[in-house]
Amino acid sequence: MKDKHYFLLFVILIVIQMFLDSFLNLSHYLSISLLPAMIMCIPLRSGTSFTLLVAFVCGFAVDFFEGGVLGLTSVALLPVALLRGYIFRLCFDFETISRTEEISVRKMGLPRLLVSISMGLAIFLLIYIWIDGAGTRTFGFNLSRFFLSYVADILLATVTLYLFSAQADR
Amino acid sequence: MNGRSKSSFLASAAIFIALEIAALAMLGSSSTIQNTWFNRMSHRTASFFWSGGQRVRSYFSLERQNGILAEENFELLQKVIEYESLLGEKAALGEVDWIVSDSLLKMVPARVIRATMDSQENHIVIDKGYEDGIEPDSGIITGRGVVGIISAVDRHRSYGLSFMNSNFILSARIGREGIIVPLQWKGTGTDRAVIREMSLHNVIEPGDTVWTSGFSDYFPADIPLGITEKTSLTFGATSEVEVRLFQDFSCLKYVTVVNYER
Repeated sequence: MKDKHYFLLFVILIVIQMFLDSFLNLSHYLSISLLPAMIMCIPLRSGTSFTLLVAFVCGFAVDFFEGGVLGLTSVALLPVALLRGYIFRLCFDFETISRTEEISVRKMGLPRLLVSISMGLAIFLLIYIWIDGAGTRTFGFNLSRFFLSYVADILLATVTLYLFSAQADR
Repeated sequence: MNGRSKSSFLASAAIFIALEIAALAMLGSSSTIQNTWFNRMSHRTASFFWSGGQRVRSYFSLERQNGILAEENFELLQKVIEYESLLGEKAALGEVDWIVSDSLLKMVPARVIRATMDSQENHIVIDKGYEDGIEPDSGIITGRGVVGIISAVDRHRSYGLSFMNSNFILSARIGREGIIVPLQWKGTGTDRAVIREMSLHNVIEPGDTVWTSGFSDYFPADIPLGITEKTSLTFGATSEVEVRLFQDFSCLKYVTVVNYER
């Protein structure tokens, strides 16, 4: 039952992501994405292989329905899915990770969760902005885009984190 | 790392690599900008390694290369002496004007990083690019003949179609005053070319020198290419003349890029 709720939440967030990409184009310097936070909030009991598949499918779906460059989001999201386990091991002790099956603010604490999600977000934005620019944009532009997008996405990631935490705490 | 976690790690790595390759393939096929960028990056990376390998190979063939360069220097010196004496004679007769060429020939020396020889469509990579004065559609020559044509130019690398490419046909002339023929690589060997579909009434003697005709947009006239050898009949209707090239592509190290403006 819980898995169904997770799945539903995932789908809703992907639809929201598509709306954000399609209708909310504030600036060339801003890349708004919920996906890195969503991937980081996948329950820990799901293995890395499952997370990789989810990352690939979500990235493809977002690019496909938004009419963007196919494969771009997946290329940036897959490293986040691969490194997710290592990021959590870096931010949390072994006991916390072995006890916790789902990402929860109550069980794991907001500061450390935000640090781990922000690391995943940074990896995603670095790869996404680099490949999206394809050597045609200046370093200054890419850096500005990274920082502005990072700030905006961290705020959205916090909201996403609380949504998944609510599911986990049910 | 115990056995189970090791196999889990390997499985995750394999899935990651497979999905990442799939995503990159989608990205390359759906976007021209990214595709061009990937190709440029892969060529730069590959040419970096080719360049390193070529330096090692060059180090071990220095003695042979020095011998070849010394021979070329001697031939060039002879030509310079010949032209200077000719210029002197013409100046004395008041006929200097016709020696001034109406074509502009810009030359850039370069080193070969990679010259493939193992397929029917070979290419060549040199260590100079647009920042060194190389332009696309420039000819690549050596003192022993035509090597290729530049097709794409990067900052400090250029990529070209080699003469050893089935798509490369060069306009050549047999002898100083002879007939104009199409010369192309024979398809085998590193110093063999062939003149195909010659009419039977054109009799070519073995031992004739083949030169560039000057009717090409890439190469000036009178670059020596090779020596004619045997002639064979093809389907009873045309003849085919084998040419032994002066340039052996298996030991190609230093070339000159010519930008030939008529």
